[in-house]
Amino acid sequence: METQKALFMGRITAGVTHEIKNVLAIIKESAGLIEDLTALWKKDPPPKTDKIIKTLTKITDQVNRGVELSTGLNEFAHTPDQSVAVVALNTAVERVVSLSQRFARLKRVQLEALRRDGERTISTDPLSFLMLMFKAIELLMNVVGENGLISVEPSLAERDLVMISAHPPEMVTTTPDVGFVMHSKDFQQMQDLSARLNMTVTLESCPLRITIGKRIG
Amino acid sequence: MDNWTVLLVDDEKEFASTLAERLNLRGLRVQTAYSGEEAIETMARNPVQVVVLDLMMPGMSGLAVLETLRKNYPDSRIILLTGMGSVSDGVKGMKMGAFDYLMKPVEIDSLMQTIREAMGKPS
Repeated sequence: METQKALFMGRITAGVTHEIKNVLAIIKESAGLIEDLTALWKKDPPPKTDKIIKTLTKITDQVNRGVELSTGLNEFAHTPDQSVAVVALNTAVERVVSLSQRFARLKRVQLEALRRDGERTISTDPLSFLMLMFKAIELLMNVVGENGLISVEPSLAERDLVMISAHPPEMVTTTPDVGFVMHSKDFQQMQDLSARLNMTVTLESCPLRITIGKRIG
Repeated sequence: MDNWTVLLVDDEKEFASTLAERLNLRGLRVQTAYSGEEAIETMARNPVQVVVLDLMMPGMSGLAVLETLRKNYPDSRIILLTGMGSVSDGVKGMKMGAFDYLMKPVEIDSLMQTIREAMGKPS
């Protein structure tokens, strides 16, 4: 279990830091472009300032993107601070979606977090719970197909916690092989992990959805 | 084959467009493609001698693009751009026939030097 957690933390960290590196690359090129343009002042009449302003705006936007990414990563890094904690489901859903965006982008899948009114909380291992949601997202990303949509939301039903739903792109008429998903190693791992958390995972085919729920009894 | 145009392939549009402008200012004509698939289509319309190719992209990976370009355009020279986590892919790319690989964020002078070498070396 500890190995699984370490691998999970490594994957997420690698993904987010790759994004941060992209942000820094854009900032570097943008700053370099401003240097190039201002160097031209010495040889030619000054370049139009709107290009410089546009590039400076690009830098500001990327700095904001970088701050958001590193804040998210820092919060994630603190997740294992407590082995059991009160977890707000809306916040947990938003966090796992934010951390999973790069993986979704690489698979060309859209990923969204949906908030529920009111704030439901559970007492659980925060890192393992994040890991469970991430595994569900990843499993469905692998079957929904390019240009599909995965939505993650806290459940309304009392005994259910979170629903991860897959929406294939409109032009796709065939449904993914749910049997294949259910017997996959990844789904088995999810069931093992949910059992350790005293939770359940159920898979529905229509709509294609994984629901994480409380184990009763 | 167009010897004076570089095809820049990277899914990060802001990065690609800004780098393209900087290469323009240094005398190069630059085409951009934001995916492996788009790169293949662009080469089919207007093959160029030098391609600067990001390794980590959604959809068709950089290595898959490299393999296709090496097969269909053996005279083209491919310069790979790679992040820290994909250095081994950079090495793999060299074994697959890439001209060179550079780490991102890339130093513009290093990239220009590598592009000039790619344009100047005989096939």
